[in-house]
Amino acid sequence: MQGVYLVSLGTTIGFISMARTNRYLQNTDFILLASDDVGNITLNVPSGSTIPAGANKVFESFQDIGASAAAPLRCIFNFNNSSEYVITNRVLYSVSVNVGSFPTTGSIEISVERYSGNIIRLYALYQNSASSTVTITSNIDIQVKVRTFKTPFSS
Amino acid sequence: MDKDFQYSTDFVADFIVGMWEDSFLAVNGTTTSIVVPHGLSFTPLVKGNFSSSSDFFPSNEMSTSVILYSFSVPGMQVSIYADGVNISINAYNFTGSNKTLYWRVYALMPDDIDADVGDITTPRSDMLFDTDNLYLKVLDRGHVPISTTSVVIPHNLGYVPYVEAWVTFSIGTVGPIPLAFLPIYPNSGAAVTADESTVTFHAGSIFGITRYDYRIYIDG
Repeated sequence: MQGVYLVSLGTTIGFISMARTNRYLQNTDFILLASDDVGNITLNVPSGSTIPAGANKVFESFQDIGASAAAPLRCIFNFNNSSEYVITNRVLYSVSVNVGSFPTTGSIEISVERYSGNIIRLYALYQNSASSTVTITSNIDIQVKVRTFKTPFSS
Repeated sequence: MDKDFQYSTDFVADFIVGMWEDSFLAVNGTTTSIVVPHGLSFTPLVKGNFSSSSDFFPSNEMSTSVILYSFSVPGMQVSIYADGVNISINAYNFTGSNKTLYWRVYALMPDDIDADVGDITTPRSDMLFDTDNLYLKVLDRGHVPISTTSVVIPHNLGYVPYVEAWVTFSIGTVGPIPLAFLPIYPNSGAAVTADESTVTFHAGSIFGITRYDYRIYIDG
């Protein structure tokens, strides 16, 4: 234990206990939500991309962010530089496509996952269940602001 | 600005009122469900993540919905709900083989609940407040009923804030925001959106949402 002795005229009259200084300045009765980093990850799904009949196509990007820990992460999505942001971790996004030569609307699944260590992965998955080639006919610019959290668990 | 500080006594900080973790066998080709009593006197605001690996790499966030339209890509989708007694976790495994599913869930308290809860004891109990981290500063916390029209809450921060939200379904269960359908169609897509002055809670008639619980933080 560290401390300070109070000395008066050569006689010890008291001892004030002092905690050892470390980086934990305060504590609480409860674990707080602790965010260890924030960063951005982007992905482009280009117009003209083709997905063969019955096949799947994954567009993906990776980003180094936060501590290497199994931690929760939270995302704010932006599409095509809109002024509106979407608070979510997973999106089913409508996209203009041609199935063969027939113009219609398809859906692309977009999500962020902790991939390994401190690497996160943003991916967009198009599943073509049609019997014709699908061509994506609109460009999608995806920007995601990711906030990572220290896991409240042991590791 | 206050948002640039790791911690500010001008704002309250959110704290965790419950933590649970375990694993179970998710059977291939079907949904495996487990129920865990949470031991709290109220319905907690739960969130969690899961992995088929004990080191949680890769790991994904639990939602309250799965994508049902196609399972041609191997994977696992996990949903979570809470009610007044239990936490329910449902794992749809279409990886092609049985998998051990590792899960971790934590909970916050709704703003309209004032209940005593026990201290949370974990291996991190000596690291409750660490100056290496940022502690989210709550600007506003509350809940809004939702039916057929969206609800807009102003924040006027001048930047897009970080928001946490949970939904209550018509059957009374509570969980994270469902899968968002975009672009958002009025009265259908369940989602929370934000711009530099407002947060909008969209009516989620597809999911039968009756209420959003939310936290708006000054942290961006």
